[in-house]
Amino acid sequence: MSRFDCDDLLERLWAYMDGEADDQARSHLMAHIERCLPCRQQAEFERRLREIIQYKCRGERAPETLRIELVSLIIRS
Amino acid sequence: MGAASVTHEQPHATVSQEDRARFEALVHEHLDSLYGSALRLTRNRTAAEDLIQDTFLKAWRSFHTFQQGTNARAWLYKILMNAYIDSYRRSSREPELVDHEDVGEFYLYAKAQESDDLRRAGDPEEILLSKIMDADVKTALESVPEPFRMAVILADLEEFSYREIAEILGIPIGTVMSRLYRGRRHLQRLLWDYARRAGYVKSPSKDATAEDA
Repeated sequence: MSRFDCDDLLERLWAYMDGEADDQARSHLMAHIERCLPCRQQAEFERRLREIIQYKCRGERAPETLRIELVSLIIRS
Repeated sequence: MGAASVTHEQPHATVSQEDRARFEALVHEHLDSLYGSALRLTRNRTAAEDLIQDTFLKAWRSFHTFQQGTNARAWLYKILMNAYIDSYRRSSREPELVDHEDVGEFYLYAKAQESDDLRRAGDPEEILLSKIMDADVKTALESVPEPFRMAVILADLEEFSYREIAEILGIPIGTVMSRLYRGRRHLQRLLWDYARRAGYVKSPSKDATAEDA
């Protein structure tokens, strides 16, 4: 795992972004990104893309009627 | 409340006020995030509400098996995902379980780099990300086929660990990773299609007709 090929970047980067990279994987990734400009740019792109996806797809609020129904369901049972 | 009116199984004959209060707190704490996931899964508000009702009803019925102090959010998501999978298996509106598109090597970043239009317009990544910011990302996510969409929702929106997702979906961690990575490539492909349809270039300093060709 010590060799780092640019073709492997994305899956390693995703694992890191998912909080799934161990210390060694993380330091290999960081060392590579530091000296490889294209990979650094891609890493930045993926990070921002993830942020946009979260920003656009999160934050739904359940309808109040549903909340009330669920609570009354517990009370009735 | 007359006990005689109860016809279905009633596992909560001995339910305490304390249990009710604890469960109600779970509803309030997790409802919005579960509902958001249910929307992205079912793509429809009524179906999402039905799925959430079903989820909390099942959760309440098995609440006595839930161990206090363990991961309530993962427990609720497991029930949600099982209810979702059951509901689409039972109905005729089974989502596409076959992965028709070959997204094996699809990467948005590479597409941006390769695009002459984007390069001509300036900073390709920047333009593409701003297009995606304007795009209907929810619909794109909802168009990712199952079972990949479930993995993307659990990881990218809900930020569960691979181990938790494996537990929630009842699959090995390796399968979680392959579904997740494939789902992400699907999503990137869909976002690319949106960006392309929207047109790359909006810059007022550019000659619009030349870019529209």
